[in-house]
Amino acid sequence: MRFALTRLGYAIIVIFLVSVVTFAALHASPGSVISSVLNVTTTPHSVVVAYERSHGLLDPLPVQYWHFISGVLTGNLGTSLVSNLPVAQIVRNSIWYTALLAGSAFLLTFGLGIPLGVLAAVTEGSWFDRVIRTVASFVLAIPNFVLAIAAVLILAVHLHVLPAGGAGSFSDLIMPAVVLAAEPWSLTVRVMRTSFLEHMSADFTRTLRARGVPEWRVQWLHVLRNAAGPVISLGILQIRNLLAYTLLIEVIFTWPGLGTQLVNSVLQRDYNVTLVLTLLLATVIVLAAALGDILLSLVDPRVRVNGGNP
Amino acid sequence: MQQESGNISEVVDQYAAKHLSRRDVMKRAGLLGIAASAVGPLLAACTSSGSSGTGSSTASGSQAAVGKPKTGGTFREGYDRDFTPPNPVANSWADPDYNALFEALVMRNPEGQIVPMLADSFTSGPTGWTFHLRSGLKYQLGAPLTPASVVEDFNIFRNPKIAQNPPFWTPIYNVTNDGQTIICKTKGPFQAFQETVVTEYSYIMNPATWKAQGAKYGTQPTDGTGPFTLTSYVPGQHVIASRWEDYPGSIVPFFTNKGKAYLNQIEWIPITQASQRAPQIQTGLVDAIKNPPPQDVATLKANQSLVVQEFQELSNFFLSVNMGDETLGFDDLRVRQAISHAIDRQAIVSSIFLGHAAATYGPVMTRWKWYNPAVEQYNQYDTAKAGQLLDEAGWKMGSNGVRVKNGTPMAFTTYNLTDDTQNQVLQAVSQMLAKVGIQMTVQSLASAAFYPKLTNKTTAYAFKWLWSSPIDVVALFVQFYQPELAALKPVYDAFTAWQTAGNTAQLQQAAMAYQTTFAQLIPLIPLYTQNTIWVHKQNVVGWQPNQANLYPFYNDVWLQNA
Amino acid sequence: MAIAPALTGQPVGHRERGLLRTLISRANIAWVIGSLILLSAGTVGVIIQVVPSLRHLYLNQDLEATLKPPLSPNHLLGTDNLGRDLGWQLIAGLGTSLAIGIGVALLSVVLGLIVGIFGGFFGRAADAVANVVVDVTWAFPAILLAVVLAGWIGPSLTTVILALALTNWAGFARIVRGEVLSLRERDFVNAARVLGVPKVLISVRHLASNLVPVTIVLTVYFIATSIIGEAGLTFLGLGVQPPMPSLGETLSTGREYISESWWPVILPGVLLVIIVLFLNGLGDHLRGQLDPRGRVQRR
Repeated sequence: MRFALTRLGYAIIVIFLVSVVTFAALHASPGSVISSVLNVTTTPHSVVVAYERSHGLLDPLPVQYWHFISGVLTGNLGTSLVSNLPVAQIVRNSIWYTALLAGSAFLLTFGLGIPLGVLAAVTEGSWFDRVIRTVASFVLAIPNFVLAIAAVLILAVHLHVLPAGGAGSFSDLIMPAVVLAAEPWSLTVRVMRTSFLEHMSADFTRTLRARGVPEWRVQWLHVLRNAAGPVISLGILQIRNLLAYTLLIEVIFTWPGLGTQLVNSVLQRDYNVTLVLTLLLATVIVLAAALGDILLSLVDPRVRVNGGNP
Repeated sequence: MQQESGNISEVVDQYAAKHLSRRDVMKRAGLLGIAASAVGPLLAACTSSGSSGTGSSTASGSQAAVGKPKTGGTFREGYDRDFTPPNPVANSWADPDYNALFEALVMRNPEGQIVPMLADSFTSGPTGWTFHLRSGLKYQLGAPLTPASVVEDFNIFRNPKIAQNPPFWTPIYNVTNDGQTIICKTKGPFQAFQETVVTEYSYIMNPATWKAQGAKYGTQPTDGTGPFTLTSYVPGQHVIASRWEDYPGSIVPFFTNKGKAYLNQIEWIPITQASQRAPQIQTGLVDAIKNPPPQDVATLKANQSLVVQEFQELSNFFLSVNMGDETLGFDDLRVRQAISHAIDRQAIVSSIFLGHAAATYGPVMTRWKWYNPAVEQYNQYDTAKAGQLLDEAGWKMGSNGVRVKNGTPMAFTTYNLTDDTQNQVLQAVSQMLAKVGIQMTVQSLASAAFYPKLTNKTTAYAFKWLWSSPIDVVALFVQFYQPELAALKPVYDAFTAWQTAGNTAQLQQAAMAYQTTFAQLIPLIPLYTQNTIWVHKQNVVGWQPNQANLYPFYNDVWLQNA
Repeated sequence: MAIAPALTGQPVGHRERGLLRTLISRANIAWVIGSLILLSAGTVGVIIQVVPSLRHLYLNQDLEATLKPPLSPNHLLGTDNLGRDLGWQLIAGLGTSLAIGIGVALLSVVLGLIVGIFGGFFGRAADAVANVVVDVTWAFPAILLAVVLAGWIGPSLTTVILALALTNWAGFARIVRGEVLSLRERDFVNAARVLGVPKVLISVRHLASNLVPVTIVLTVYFIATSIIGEAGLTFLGLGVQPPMPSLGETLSTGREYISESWWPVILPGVLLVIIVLFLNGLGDHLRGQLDPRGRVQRR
């Protein structure tokens, strides 16, 4: 319990620091949101200054940061500097799409990865095992945007089987989700298989079999539970990669999620939106890591001692 | 659907379809005020290749006669940029939704002539303009459309402290009303105002609403007078407008529907990735798109369920070098001419645009109503001449292939707004310049980073303006680096002649003279004007982009499957 | 980056069987040859970009001959949308990618070693600081960093290398820290400390040299991920600027013409896949040779 609390407390500090670094980095880089809003070649200077003042852009940086962080903590996420829409609304519009895409990829990864990994381990050496391993290696080697382009080329442009982009119907979800899930799926299969193999011949299984426990229970219940550890830690790490890749995949398939929104708002220097979105993503990543550590600590006491860094 | 259009593109199309002989084409071209020298290349291109970049080629299934208009339905229109809040006062880009949400006092018809819209009559003369406002009109939120509110609008639009277009209003020193008549006073003739008062940044809005909404204006109902009201604004996803049930009707001659709009709603969808535009209309996600990339046009034209229309865009892409930069010799006319002569615009047009563009040797697009083909004798592709001019100006070819003068190599960086096509063009230009010994590197930046880089110390930048009044906008860019340059006095004088022209004939003459002066002195180096390609599904009727205005109007649009 | 959950911690001795001898043994001949081929191709790619008289090979545009298919006269692999020879573009792009990959890997490894050893070996306060720095970097979206850097110093080769390295090193630092935590309990380390050898020297001599196998293996993986990362950044418009060639650039421009010409997309894609497959295989193989106890897993 104490470990969980310290771990969460630490996570909050990290999230806070990420917000500070993001804020500093955004304001330190040249370029201004003004250019995304007004026609700067023709707009008179007084108009520009008036705009800046009304949006609080002329306040000293620590004051601006304070406005931002106090707003976030009280639930006021501010307004977009480019479109004047409340950031909360922008997040609401896009978070559903990203969650759908990432969730589907996650489901595909573990829903297909774990069973296939176990099956490959159980049938070790067979043609099934070899096929799975080869496919996993091959898929792992293809960068996901190359996979995305190849998929679009074959399935959308030539065969007209699936749409090339947009988010109108369920079939739009298939290609992005599969492309996104490809890499984590292949890793999950490999790690699951290795881990399962390691534990399959452990001592305790012999005890269980000697006691007459049916083989399938031995494997699917006991061994799996023990072998799940590395898959869980891998899964936690995959969340970060998943979120990072989701941005890229969203842009390629014009999927209107947080990724597209983040890319656009950074390019436009829309400080408010960028800060909120970055904070959101960082929170998810950091909390996921913390959660993973807590889960692992429940399973493996050594983690509590070592400080939880996998 | 508009029948009579004195448009050279239609003439050429008919020639291509063998309905007219070459002599007929020349005759009609003459009547349209187009020089024979300009027509020749058009016809030649027409017969040699499929797409010649000429005007409306409804090559894929012209729309069949369709019966009576139906009310209802949502028209989904794809747009090639992301939206900005519709705000005529201060905004970075005018989008298609302006035409649905607002109206102007007067408007251009597809031939470029000024016709009544909110004003039922107007006069122009040596002391200014008057517009007689129609009676009994209202704003969308219910307030009456009073002459006083229009006066207030105009005073906002010409206020240099508030709005962004005041340079185009300077000759007007006073705006008042006398009953239903709006009076704009000037000290001398100002015929050029006709090109300003019809543009999006002169559209009429309720000034009280604008003041009340402040920074939020453009994200909530904008209280204009157009046939639709703004109901949803989500940049990156869509902008939605719904029919205004109390629309009083329109007197615009070229609208066939004089009453309420047919459509229930319009939904504009930004499709910023060019490669997505053709797939989205082909799979039915949208009913219309703008600017699919040139390589997708052939497939779209072959699709029988789509109608493809091509007009020249009201734009020009140019390269601007800082004439105040004496170390690189940009103040020397010969250097600028050399740069211009080194660029093979025609090759760019045929290879990057596949013919869906036109090379420009002068400041304005070649299909503008007052285009002067005399500019074509300048700035033609001639690498020998480029080399000769550079030699004369003292820039000798160095050992590593870059010209040098007084120890300074001719090397500089050009900034441009990130855009796939423009980037390619600049890469090609960079290579062409390298062949004559000029080393130009290109830096492409997103808008938030690009505009701050544009100061009067920037060595060079490339830009595309999009505006229906070219002389006005070109003058803005000419003065960007320095407001006054002795070498450019003829250009400034030519602009003054434009602004003080007394009637349409003088205005046209001033416009033609401006172009030749500009082409001789090239303060900006024009490169090309691309074609805008509009595609819509067969079931969309009455959506008529035209050559004279930036975007189509929505009064006549209806859907057959509504 | 994941570490196999069991740090076996078995003492391995101060130095492995001669590293170089291990690497250039019979079993590795195929990999050595492969690596040499890759390096040579990359070097050629860099050379033709650097030597002015050779630049025309990949820069020469021919607007009359755009998008010619492979096996056209003069162009074995066809031309791209500006008429440049695709074959030479790919080689030059390969040079850029490898240069970036090696640059990023080196930078990440150096940073990761410094922070990892600092955290693992220099006391609890140092560890806390190191952990915070690593975790904050870990949670920071790479694209944000890339855009900010691109805005600061302009998009360029340096920007790409910095952006990728600064987001990459944290994972390596974690692994190093874990390794150091186990190494510091070893006898030879304790002996050195008792003898009064300053910590910094111990780090460099003993710790780092034991980390060499891990480092080599991960460097190879990093090169692969950076090549992919660079292509991804270019795809979003944040990569190296033309006319500097890059596989990501060829891919992303080629995508616009995908409906008519498959070669500007498929050829760079295939090349990327081959390189990544090779590097991953090389990494796996090296891991087998240098780190048989499986202390390190890729990712």
